[in-house]
Amino acid sequence: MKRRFRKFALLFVLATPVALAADRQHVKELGQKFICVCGTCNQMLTTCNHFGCPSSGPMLAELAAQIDEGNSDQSIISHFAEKYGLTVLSAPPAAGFNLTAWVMPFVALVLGGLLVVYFVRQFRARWVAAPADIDVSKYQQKVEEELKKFIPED
Amino acid sequence: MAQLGQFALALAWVVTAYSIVASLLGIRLKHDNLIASGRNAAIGTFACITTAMVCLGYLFAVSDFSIKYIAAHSNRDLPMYFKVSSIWGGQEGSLLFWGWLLTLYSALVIIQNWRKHSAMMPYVVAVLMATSFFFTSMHLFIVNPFNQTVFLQAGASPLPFVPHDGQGLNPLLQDAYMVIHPPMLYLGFVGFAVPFAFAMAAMITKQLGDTWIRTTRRWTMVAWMFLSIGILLGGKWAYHELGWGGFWAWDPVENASMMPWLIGTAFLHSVMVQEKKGMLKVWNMVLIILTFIMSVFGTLLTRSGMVQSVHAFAQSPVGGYFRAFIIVALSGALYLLFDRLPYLKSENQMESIVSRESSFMFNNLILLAACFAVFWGTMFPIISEAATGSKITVGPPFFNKVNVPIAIFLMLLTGVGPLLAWRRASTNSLKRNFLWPAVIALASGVVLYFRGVQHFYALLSIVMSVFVTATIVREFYKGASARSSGTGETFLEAVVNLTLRNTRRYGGYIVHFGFVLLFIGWSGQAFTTDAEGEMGIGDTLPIREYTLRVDKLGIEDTPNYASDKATLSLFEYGKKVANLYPEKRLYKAGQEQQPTTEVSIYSTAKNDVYVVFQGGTRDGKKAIIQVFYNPLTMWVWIGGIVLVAGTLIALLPNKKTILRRRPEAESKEERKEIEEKIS
Amino acid sequence: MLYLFCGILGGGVLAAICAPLFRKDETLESAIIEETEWDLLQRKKEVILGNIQDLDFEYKCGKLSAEDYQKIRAEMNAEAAVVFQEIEKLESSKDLDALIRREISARKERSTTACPSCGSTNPNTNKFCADCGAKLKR
Repeated sequence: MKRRFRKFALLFVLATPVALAADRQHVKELGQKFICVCGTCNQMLTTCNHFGCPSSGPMLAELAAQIDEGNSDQSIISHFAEKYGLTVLSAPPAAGFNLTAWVMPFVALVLGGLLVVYFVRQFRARWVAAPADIDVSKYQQKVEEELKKFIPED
Repeated sequence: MAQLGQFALALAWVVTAYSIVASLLGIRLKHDNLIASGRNAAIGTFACITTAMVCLGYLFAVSDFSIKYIAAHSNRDLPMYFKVSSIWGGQEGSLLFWGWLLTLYSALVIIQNWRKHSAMMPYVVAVLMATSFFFTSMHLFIVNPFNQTVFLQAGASPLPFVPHDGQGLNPLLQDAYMVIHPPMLYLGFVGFAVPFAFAMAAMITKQLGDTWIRTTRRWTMVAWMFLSIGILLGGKWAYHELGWGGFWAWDPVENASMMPWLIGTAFLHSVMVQEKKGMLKVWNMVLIILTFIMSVFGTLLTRSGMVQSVHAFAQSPVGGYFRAFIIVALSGALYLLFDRLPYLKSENQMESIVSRESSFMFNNLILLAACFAVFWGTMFPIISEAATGSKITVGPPFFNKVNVPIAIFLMLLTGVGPLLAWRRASTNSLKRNFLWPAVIALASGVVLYFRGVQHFYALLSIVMSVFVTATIVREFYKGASARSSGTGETFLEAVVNLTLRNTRRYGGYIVHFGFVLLFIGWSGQAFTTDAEGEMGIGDTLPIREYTLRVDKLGIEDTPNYASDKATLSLFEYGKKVANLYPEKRLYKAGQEQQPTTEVSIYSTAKNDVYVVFQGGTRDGKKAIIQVFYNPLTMWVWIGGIVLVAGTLIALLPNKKTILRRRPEAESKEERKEIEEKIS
Repeated sequence: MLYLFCGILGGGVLAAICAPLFRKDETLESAIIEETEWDLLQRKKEVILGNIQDLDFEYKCGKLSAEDYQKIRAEMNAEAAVVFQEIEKLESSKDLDALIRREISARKERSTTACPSCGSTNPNTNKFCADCGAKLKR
């Protein structure tokens, strides 16, 4: 360590702490809609905390400034999407092809559900009662006897 | 030692290949000596890979930087336990570790089952060794951990070069949880190879009763338990080490461990339907094939850099080989399954949609849907790019939105399923079982709502948790009452004996309860708040009922890292409850010194206070402190412990059967006698 | 040193592989069929008995209405009866496999003793009952 120590060993470059002019809760909430674009962390903007990240600080500042200007959430989102590309959004927009991202899991669930119901019915349709030529009472005694002796295998 | 390691790997490769050939040829020729030889070869592979592991561990311990892998993942000043755990700190070593665990499982399974299932075992050996062969080939030819550091001089032939010091282990991995997280996870991943191998063997030998399921039941549970532990430790690690206040970020690598867990869970449940009713035979095959493939796929996701991830350990050529292996294994297994369909006819019928059987089917449906959602989200960036040409991100908000409703539905089934009778349940029976749990759950929901819990999903998940807990308590209570009235035991004795006599069922309930606790801790995340401030000595920062005060700011210097450390006092309602020491560390090894965050956490059953040292201000006089208030987080870890305890109970043999003679085959003499008698 | 280690590992593995090849009386393990018809029927019987036992217990716990219980129990009894009949049929057909297997399980049965005080079965090798601890008569 050849750095000159002041109070701390490290030279801190966290230029913009999140405590900004704008409504903090609002920044936090809206910040979750974006991904830090630094390319290494892949974290949500508000959770990106890797040291000296070149992107998240300025992006947060920009976000706060936009909120301060009184822009609507929607317009801020589209501004970011325009500026950084669609990858900045933390979840795919529910439009166009990307709608499938949202819809498919539930489509699969519903299809699967129908399939289960279909199979249950299928199984039921095959229902055959015990053959009539068996005299169940004849074995009744034996069933009870065996039951007494029976120890289930684990 | 490196040469010994190389030799052991080469030997392992040859022996594995021999084992496959000997087993298959032995079956073909009905040559039992050859089959036995193949079996011994499989155990020999374990000896070889173990030797390789020991060599690698030794080389790490003595810091032999002439080995490339060691130079890249260790350094002289690294503490010894991290040196050893660096074995799985990078790609080559972690694949070797995977391969080693596979041979370990194989050896144990072979020794345990050789006599019991003599017809199936040669195939089991062949399948396990075929998987192992893929890994030994990788070790030897593609990602050999024993390769030497090579220094390329222009125009000259490559020379071995010994750097003075290594580049160090990734600081994020220098954490106690990271010492045990990967082994647990891999024990889980690899463990599913055992039921998979038995499933394949059952199909090949056409012994498609439930023998393979009963034989591997415990192995599956063990694998599942390790995978659960691995996932939870991963979460705990992220919580402690990444410093963003949460434990699960739906990162591709996390998802990779989630997917086999979800399908494995489905498998664990649906095999019961086959055992009890001889149904869902094809489905169980599909599930175990998928579980195994997903485990390998998980390894691929972690190791190939196919999808971007914070865990971006590695961008490497292994991806292609893994994909090839997955395709071969999957198509082979599915072909076999298709070919054996006629032998997998259901023995029984489904009688009602309101029955235990069908509740298992719905449980499977939900788990698979969750798995599909995770898979779909993880792969969607690739799919979208292929379809539209533009890249897209699928982050935590997506996964949360999609999976939360699925998880709540799963909770509902966790409560309902075990109370439904097999075959069918009439309305009358339903009323008996559900009236009280439902009333209690709804009442608690109403109370919580008026006490201010108005977040829809959180409220719903707490109501579900109460419901499931009520049903579980009721099960134990009713069971123990019935038992104590029959045997005259005290209630407590009855509870214990009840559990010990049907460990699987009651252990299962305990697992469910662990899951409930986990779920409660997880829903607490909806109420996380945080605060941040620049703080000099004596400054305070309030958050909810807590206040932080900076007492000291200072430096700590160790050979491995230097750090800035803040000493904070934590006050709850004005009363001091703890000292907290968040740090920012700078690790010294390697060209790029990497800073990491060491958070400090004050944890209670009610909430965690999670303090992060974000950095200092420009003048170096103040620290930027961020503090998170995370409600109920401790319950995630407690839930995890309960879940593991429940699994351990379920693994116990049922009391009463402990001292029974093992049902396996008769001795040779007996057999001969009988043969003589008959002829 | 290196060669020594390599030699030990290589030699050991080679010996383990080769040993079975030169053994003479390796029994024909691969010829054993694990799932004969008789085995499958026995297994089926066990499953049904286990299911009945579960059902009885769940009824005792009050999880089923009496009506449900009686109906399902009757069905299960019928299923058990079918299996018992099939086993009888198989055994009287002088099917070799079945005879062998029955002989074995009969022997196993004989190698257990019932506890004089609680009635649970114990292997002959036990001196005391595994369940209640009473001394077993030899």
